Amino acid sequence: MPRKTFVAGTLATASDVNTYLMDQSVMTFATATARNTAIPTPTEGMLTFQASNDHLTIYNGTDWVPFDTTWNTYTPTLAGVTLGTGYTLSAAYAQLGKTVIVQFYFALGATSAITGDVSFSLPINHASSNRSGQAGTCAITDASPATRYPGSILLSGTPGYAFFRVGNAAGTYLTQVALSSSVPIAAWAVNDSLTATIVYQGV
Amino acid sequence: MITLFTCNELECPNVGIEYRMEDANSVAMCGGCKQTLIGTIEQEAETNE
Repeated sequence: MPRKTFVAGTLATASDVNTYLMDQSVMTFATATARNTAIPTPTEGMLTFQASNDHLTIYNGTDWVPFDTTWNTYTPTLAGVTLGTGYTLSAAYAQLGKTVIVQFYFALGATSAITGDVSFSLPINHASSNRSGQAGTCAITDASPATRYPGSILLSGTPGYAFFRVGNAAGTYLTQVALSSSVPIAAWAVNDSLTATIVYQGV
Repeated sequence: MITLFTCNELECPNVGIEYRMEDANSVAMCGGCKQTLIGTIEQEAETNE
């Protein structure tokens, strides 16, 4: 049922009330494009639903702000990594207003390699570089011998990237260092993996 | 299940890279240029018993 615009003199039938006013108190559109075409000048507080990606969106007076009802897969740009073949990669996010939650997993395949400071691109840019100095946690797992190294994630750059940091116990106090071809695993191999969960303020 | 995604946008840093995603989702957002990507499910190799 398309959106109906009532004008002066339009007769509002019971059917109009039941279908347009009751069923469409949350307007449903196939895509954001269809929504923008149907509502060229939205009113602050308007609520719509996009069927293509199951997202609620609320108009805040300037933008349509998404409130995802499902997680979204995305293909992050990677640095410090050679994907190679036979790897396993999973990256997904949910945006709840200006809050973004991201989960990332990468397990090395037969010809994968860690070549330097590992980072992955964010699905939504982060709003504050200072408050994003530690945006989440990560774990690097050596498949054999089974060893798990805890760490944290910092966000940096525009477009934003998430950087892995792991603990270095060499000094008096634990410090955090970037990953490399030999940190924290001396010789990265098949099924070694990196996983991360981050929460941050999106733009 | 593995779904394959490739971005063909020439200006995208991910252009031409085949992503093997384990997520059960046939649609993904390109992390390089934010375009919507349609995936193809990787077919399992047939085995003879």
